[in-house]
Amino acid sequence: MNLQPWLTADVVGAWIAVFLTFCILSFLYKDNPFYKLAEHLFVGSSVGIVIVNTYYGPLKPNLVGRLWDDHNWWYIIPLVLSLCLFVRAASRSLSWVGRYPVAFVVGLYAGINLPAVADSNLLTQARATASDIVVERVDVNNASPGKLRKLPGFGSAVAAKVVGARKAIGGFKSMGQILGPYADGKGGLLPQEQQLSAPQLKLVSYAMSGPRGIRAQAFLGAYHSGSKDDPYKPEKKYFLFGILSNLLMLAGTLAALVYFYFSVPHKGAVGKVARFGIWTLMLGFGASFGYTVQGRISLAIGRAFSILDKDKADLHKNQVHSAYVALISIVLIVAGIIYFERRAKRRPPPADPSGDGGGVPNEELPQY
Amino acid sequence: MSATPANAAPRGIMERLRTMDRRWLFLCMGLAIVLPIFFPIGLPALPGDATVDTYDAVASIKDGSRVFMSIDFDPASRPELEPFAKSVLVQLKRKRCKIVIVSLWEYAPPLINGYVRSILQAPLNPGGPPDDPLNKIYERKTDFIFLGFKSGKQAVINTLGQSLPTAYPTTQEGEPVGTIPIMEGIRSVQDFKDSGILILISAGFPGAKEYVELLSRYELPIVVSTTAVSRTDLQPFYSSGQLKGLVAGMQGAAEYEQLVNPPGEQLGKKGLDVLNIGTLVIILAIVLGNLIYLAERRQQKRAQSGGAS
Amino acid sequence: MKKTLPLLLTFFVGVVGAMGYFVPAGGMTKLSSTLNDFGIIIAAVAFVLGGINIVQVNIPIVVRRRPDWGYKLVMLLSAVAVLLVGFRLHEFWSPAEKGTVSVSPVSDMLVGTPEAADTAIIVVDGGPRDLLVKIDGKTVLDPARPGEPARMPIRARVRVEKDAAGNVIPHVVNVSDTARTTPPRYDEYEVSISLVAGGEATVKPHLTYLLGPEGQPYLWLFNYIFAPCNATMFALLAFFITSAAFRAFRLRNVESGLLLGAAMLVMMGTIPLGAELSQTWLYRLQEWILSVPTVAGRRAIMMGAALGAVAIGLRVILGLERSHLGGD
Repeated sequence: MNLQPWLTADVVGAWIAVFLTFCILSFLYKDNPFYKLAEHLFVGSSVGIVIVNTYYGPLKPNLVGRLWDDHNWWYIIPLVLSLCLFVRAASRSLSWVGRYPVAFVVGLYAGINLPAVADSNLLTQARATASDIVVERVDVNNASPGKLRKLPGFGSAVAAKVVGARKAIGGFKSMGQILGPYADGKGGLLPQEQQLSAPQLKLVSYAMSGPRGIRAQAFLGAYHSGSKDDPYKPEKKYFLFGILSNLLMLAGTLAALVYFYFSVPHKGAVGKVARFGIWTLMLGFGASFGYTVQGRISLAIGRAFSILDKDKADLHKNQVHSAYVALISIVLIVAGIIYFERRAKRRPPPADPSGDGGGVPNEELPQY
Repeated sequence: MSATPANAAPRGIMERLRTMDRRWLFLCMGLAIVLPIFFPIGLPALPGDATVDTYDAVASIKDGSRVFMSIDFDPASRPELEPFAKSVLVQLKRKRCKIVIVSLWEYAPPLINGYVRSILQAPLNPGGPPDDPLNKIYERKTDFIFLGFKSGKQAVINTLGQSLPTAYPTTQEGEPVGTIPIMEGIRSVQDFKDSGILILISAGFPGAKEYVELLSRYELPIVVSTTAVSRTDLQPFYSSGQLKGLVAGMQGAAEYEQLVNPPGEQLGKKGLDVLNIGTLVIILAIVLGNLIYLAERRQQKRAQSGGAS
Repeated sequence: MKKTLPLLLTFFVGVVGAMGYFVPAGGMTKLSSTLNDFGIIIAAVAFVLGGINIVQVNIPIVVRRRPDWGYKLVMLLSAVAVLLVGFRLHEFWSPAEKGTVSVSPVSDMLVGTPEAADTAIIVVDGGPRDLLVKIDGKTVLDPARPGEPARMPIRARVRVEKDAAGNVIPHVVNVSDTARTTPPRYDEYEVSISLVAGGEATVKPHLTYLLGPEGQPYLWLFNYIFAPCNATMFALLAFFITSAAFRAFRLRNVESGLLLGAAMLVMMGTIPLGAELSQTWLYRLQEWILSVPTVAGRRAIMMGAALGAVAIGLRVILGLERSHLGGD
């Protein structure tokens, strides 16, 4: 890419961004004026951004443009409904006017969601849970590329190469012929579309083993030409782990549904099934928590990269020097917090304007 | 019973740890995030089935196809979603695909315009051959179009499925959608079904879940990149086949970067190093917290049984 | 009137919204998509109303000098700043003509010189000095600084050529912002000039500084004020989740043990370190946890929630649920 050096305004902006980052991070120590300043800057700017984008995004093309340019007078309806919202906000006595746009929006979203959610979240999910309990192992010597790519470590590119290889050699005689290239990095098969490094090849070869690996999910039927006169029928074998997993999924879903069924007391057999259901839910919540944790850490990683200039090209790094700005910001903020804390200690507490010992709330006292 | 001297030291440590100022934990997490940046481990990501499926789904569309993208995230979610966004744009550029972009989040347009400028409208391989597709400068309205942001959440998505020009009568610059060459013949997102793919990059609500709920009846090929938090919410859609692929979080984005291998900085892969150590710190915090809890429970039981006798 | 009509409106809109799903015929699709568009507009206005409400609530605090009024003032000023640079206000004051051209058949520079026979002079002067000037697609370079664009005022000598029909081939002058700024700070001016040999044309661009959502000031505020604050606010969660994991995540019973165990396995399994240390067993195990028990539990929740959504949706459409309309 042809890089251009940043303008001075952008360099100064980057410095301000680093300073504001530390202002907000200072909240980890305690609430302080720097944090409050950054927080209010954030809220104010976000209000402006929302209004600008809302005007140029939906309002101008969908409302103003339709009325002014296209003269589509049906769009007076949303204009009137929108004005009703303003009337509701402005006048207490006329607030009933605001019911119309609310009724419209609530009805619309109820109508949109009702069949969609019923189909996508209920029927399709129920169908998916109940179908395909039996899982067959993939016959590497006969399967289509679509079936082959479902094997662990395969993808379209590898599946295509396997199909080519089995044609060339007249059918694989052992798993080693397919897995060999993964173990030593040699051979014509490339996992995905790029050559993996040695550590990656090691990981991929490990992935091939185990209860979900290729050795469990595939078998070798003898190679045959595929013509209808060919009498050979490869023996179908079943992927036991897959079948057990599907049964567990079905059982877990039904048990969790029983848990949410409160019309029957959860005692006896129903109680045991509900218990199994809650265990299934807990495993899911645990997985959800694990991912949530990683998601939160990722957000902090992004800021760290920004502060340490890892997200900038060398040309811009040498202009901004964010690390120095970070140090200066930390010093300023620490000094500022110390100053404000000392000032707060020296100041007397605010006098009670009500004169009665503070028992009665007074509108002049801060409400927040 | 009074505590013996042998019991006093461990109780003190446990008590101290239990009442420790949480700012020490913040400091540990801060160090766990900063130090691996200077001392990377460099372990590669192992692309998961869902990530490989996403890559395959995009790789298998015909070169030159029209693709629909909905980019719905804000600056807060950039570390998790930006590596995928950039990688998939590079992948589409390699295939010379034409791209129609929309957004349902009001904070996304500046980010999207940035990706357009830095990836679609910039040569990515300046030293390479002149006919390298990565060096093509995408023309607005013929090779790509960013139609803009619309509020309305599910109403927008529903309208996209029925009549795209109703939701987007013009671009944000006021050009009627019907006059844009890349939009020729497109009445709704259903028109992307046969030749293209729908790529959704979403950080929350509204986003991929709403797209799947409202558009799955059209049986569209949809792949999603989402934040790690939403992974488990979307997993059932992936398992049922409503999604053709699912990339989640910085981990998934790094896996996808590894598959696509885009030119330039690969921040997803760099972020994985930090994620390794940060996750270990959380695990240690959980383990330590539970050790303290179990030690307390044991002491309480001892105290109760000691009191009873 | 105050309650019946809104309920009828809810019913009508809800039925059309639902029918749009089942009836893909042209008329119903058009009606449904139009009502959806109305919903888009009303939702947009609600956004704007929310923004106005924030301003409405905070102005009295500033005016009456309530506690923290200084911060509220900062908030209001930053909102106003974004609004001022975010709207394309330059469209109100930008001149109709982005530039002027005056052509003289005789150039003082060329008069009496042999070059006057087949060249002419183009002068470009006006606006910021670092604007990029291109003549016939080529950037005018500074002879004193090789490879660098020339800064205004620019005097460039061009050849005057004629086509096969004997007409003078016009020269295209383009004035725009430099490539250093993306997006550009100024709009662009392009003009086609026909010159006679020995003549001179003076181009005075009157470029307008661009405001609006694609303008530099708005993007500056977005990239350097909003974005770092937005990202860092969420980055704080990484620290709070560490504290929460230490203090609150307790192994109290079987259920919490399953939750804890699944969380730890998933966390270790997804990171490359965990995959490497366990020779991918943890990685495969977390994939299994994600694709079997997690999906089972989530499906049950989704199906239950879907049933609830259907029930509530029907109640709303049929007018049995009226809480959204408020009291009398």
